[in-house]
Amino acid sequence: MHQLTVNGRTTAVDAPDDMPVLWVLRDLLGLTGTKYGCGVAQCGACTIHVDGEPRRSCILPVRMALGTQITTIEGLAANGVDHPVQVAWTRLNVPQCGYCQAGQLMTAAALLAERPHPTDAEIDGAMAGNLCRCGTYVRIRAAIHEAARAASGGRTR
Amino acid sequence: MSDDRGQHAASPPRGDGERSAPTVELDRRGFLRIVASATGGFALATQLPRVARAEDAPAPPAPSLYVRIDPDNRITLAIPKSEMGQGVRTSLAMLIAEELEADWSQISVETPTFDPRYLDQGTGGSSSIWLAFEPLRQVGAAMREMLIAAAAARWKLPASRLHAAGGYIVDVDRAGARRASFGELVADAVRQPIPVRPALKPRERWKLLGKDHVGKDVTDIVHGRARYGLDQRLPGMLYATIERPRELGATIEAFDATAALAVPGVERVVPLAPTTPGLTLLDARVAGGIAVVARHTWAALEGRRRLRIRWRSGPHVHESTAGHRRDMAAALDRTGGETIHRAGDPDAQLTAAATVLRADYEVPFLAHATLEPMNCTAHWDGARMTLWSPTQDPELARSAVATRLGLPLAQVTVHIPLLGGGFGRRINADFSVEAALVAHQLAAPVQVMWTREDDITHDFYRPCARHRLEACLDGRGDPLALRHRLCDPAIGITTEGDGAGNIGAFESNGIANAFYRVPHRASEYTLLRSGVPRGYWRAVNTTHTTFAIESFVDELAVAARRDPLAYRLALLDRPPQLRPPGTPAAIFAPARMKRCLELVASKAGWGQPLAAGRALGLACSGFDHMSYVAMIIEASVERSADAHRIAVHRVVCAVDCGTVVHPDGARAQIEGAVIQGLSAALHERITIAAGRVVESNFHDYPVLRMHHAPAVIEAHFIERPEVPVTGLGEPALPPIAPALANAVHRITGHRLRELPLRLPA
Repeated sequence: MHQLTVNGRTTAVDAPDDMPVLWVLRDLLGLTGTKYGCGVAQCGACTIHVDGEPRRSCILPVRMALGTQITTIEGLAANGVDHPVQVAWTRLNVPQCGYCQAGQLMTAAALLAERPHPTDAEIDGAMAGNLCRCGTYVRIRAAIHEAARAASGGRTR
Repeated sequence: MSDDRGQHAASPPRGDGERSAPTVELDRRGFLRIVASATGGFALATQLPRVARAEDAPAPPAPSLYVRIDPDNRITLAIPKSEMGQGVRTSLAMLIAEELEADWSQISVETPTFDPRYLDQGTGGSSSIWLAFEPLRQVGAAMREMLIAAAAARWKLPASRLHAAGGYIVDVDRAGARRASFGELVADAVRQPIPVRPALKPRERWKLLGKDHVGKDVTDIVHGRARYGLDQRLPGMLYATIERPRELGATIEAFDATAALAVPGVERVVPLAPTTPGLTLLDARVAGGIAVVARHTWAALEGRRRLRIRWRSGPHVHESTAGHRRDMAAALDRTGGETIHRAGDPDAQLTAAATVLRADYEVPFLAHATLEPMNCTAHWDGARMTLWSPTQDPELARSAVATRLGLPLAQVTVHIPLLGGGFGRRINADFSVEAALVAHQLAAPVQVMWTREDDITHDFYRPCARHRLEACLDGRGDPLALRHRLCDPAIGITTEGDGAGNIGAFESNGIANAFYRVPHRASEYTLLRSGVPRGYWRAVNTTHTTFAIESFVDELAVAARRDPLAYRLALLDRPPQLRPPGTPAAIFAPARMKRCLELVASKAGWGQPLAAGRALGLACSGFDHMSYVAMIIEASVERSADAHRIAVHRVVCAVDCGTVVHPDGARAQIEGAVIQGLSAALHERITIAAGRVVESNFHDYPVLRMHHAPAVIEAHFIERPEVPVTGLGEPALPPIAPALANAVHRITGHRLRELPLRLPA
C-alpha cells in the first residue's frame, strides 16, 4: 500500500511500485480527467502537477510520487474558484474534442506560475510537448495571454 | 430524421447567372447505407440523388424523441450525432432551441443511445448541419406548436393569441399577465397532435442561430469532467489490451501466456481470430491477436509484454512503400486505366501539341492519430451485449457486432460517449467488434484500450496515391487538353471487398468533378493492390486530388506567365462541362467559387508587398462537401546549416457554406482543418516495410505542434441565405497542401510534388 496525496487528499492505493501515476489516477482512484495519449511522454495529455511542476504521469512510477503533492485537472480550480486558464479557455471556446485539454491546461497553468506574462515564443516553447489533433493551438496561445492579463488584474506588462 | 428539403427546391433561380443548387434529396434508408460506406458528400450525391418534391416531405419525427422538458422547466435535447470536437452537440442543439423558443441557458444536451427511430445517427461526410438544418428546426417548431396548443386548450384561447419566448408560452394580449412555463405545459403538450408541417421562423427573427455560444461541453472539459470512451467506468469492470500481429495479415501459429497470467492483476487471456477483411461492410476487419484482461490497465499492459507469440507470416509480408511507389509509377506509364470521364479528345491534342506539361504528384498513407486512441467498453450479460463505443457510426457498430456474434439486432445496445477525435477513423466497427468478442468470453464488463502503438499500426489509412497530369496550352495560355491519371489502393476495397462498385469514380472525387474550363480532358484510374487497410481520413480523396490539381494549375499559370489568381478566375467563366455520372446538373456554381477567390485575395493582400523572404500561395476547393473554400498561405523558408524548414505565418480562408449556424464553431472547424492539413503537408507519413507499418508513436509519426502553428488563421464567411446549408468539417483541409507548395515555389523556385513537403538540402 502506498500513501498518495492527490488534490490535497491522501489516499492509500494498492499499486505495484512501477505503475505509472496515470493508471493509479484513472483506474484506482477514478480520476479520469487525466488522459492517456501515447504512454511515452510525447503528447502531454497526461500532464499533472507534482509539487507544482508539470510532469508526464504516463512515465512517472508511483513510487517516485510518494510524499509529493499531486494536482490533477480535477483539482486545478482551487476552493471552487476556476484557475484563470479555465476561465480563458471557456471564454475563448478553446476545446474542440477536448481530449488533450486537461494536459494543455495543466501545462499552461504551470507556465503562468513560472512566467506570469509569457511571450508567444515562450508559450510555444512551454506548450510544444502538448499535442492537439483538432488544431486548437491558435486559440490556446490567445487564451494563455488572456489568462495572464486576467491574473494580473487586466494589466498588460 | 426527416429530409424535408422542399423549400430549397422551390426557391427560384437567382438572377446573377448562378443557378441555385438543386436540392439533393437522399432516400433516408439509402443514406444510412451510404453513410456507412463513405464520408464523402460527393459519394452521397452521386449514388442517391433525388430532387425533393413537396409530397415527399415526411412528418417530422416525434419531438419527444428529441426534446425532454422536465416539470421544473429544464430542457434536455437529444442530439443523435457523435460529438468528436466538431461542436455538433452545440450547433444541432441551437437548431432545435431556436425554433422551440427556449432559453439557451436552460438547455442541456445528451447524446442518445443508438435508436433506429432517429433514422441516422452516423456522423461523417460533413453532413450533420446540412442534413439536420430543416428537420431539427421542424422538431423544435413542432414542439413549440404543441406547447402553444396545450396552452390554448388550457386557457380556452385561440392559438393565434399565444406565442413562445424564453421558455414560456405567453398570451400576447395580456403580455406578462398570463404565461406558463414549458415545464408547466409539458404534460398537456405531449397529448397534442404532432404538426405535419410546423411553421419555421423567418431568419430575421433568429435569436440563437448565427450567433456565438460557448460549446455545451466546454465547462465539463476544462474541469476534467467530460466523459470519453476511455472514461467509462462500470462496477467490476476489467481492462484489456490486445497484442495484434505487427505484420498486416499475419496469424498466430502458437502462443504461451504463462508469464502473462503470472502478472499480479491479470485475470484472463482471450485469443481472437482475425476476420477476413471486407467480405461485406459488416465483416468489420479485425486483426486478431491475444487479449490480456486485468484488473487495471497497467497489469494488462505488463501481461501483454510477457506474452510469447509465434506469428505465421501472411500474404502481405512482401509489401513495402518502395514497392507501392514503383508500382504506382509503372501503372501511370501504362494506358488502359479505367476511364472515369472524358470530354473532347485529349489524347489527340496532347499528341499534336508542341509542348506538353507533365507532372507527377505523390502522397503517402496517413494515420488518423485521434488523441484518444481507439477503445470500446462492452458487457455481455449472457443474453445481451451492451457497448459504450466512441463511434461515428453506432448503427454499423451494432450491426457488425450482432453479425459477428449471431445475435438479433435488438439484443445489442450501443451507448455513445464523447469521442476524443474522429476524423473518419471511428466510422469503422473494428474496435467495437473486438471489445464485444472479448466481453463475450467474460462475465464482467471490459474496457479494451488500444495503445498509441496499436492505434498507429492498425489504422484504416488515408491511401497513398500517385497522380500524373499532362496538359497543353492554347495560344493564350489557357489549358487546351488535360489528362489526369490516378493510381491508388482504393478505400472501397477495404470497406466493401473486391466486389465493390464505382471504385475509380469514388477515388477520383475532386478530379472527375474538377471545375476549371478545359475543352479536352479525361481522367483514368488504376487500382493498386495492397493489404494495407484503407479508410476515410478527414476530407477523404480530395486530400490528394486537390493537391495534384491545385498544384498543377499553378504550374500551368507559371508556364503561361499569368497570375495564378487571375488564371483561376479566367478558367471559372462557365459551369463545368463535365460532371460525374448520376449527379444533378450544375451543382457547381462558378460565381460562388470566384467570389471566394476574390475575397481571399483581398483579405490576404494578394499582389501587395510582403516582408523579405515571404510569399503567398493560393489554392481553392470547389464543391467539397458542396461548400467552397479559397485559401492563401503566407510562408517563408528558414535555412539552417543542415536543413530547410518551411514556416507558415498566416493562413487566410474565404468560405461559402451557405449559412453559418454557429460562427465561432465554424471558425474552429476552419482552424482545425488548417492545422491538420498543415500537419499532413509538413510532417505525416506512414511507411510500410515487410508488410508492417514502420511508425508506431508520435516520435516517428510527428503531428504538428504548437511552435509550428501559424500565428494567424483567418476565416471569412460569405453568407448566402438563398442556397442550401452545406458541409464545413472537411472542405478547408484539401487546399492547404497545394497552397503551401505553391508558396514554396514562389519563394524558392522549387516545385515540391510529394507530401510531406521536403526541400532539397
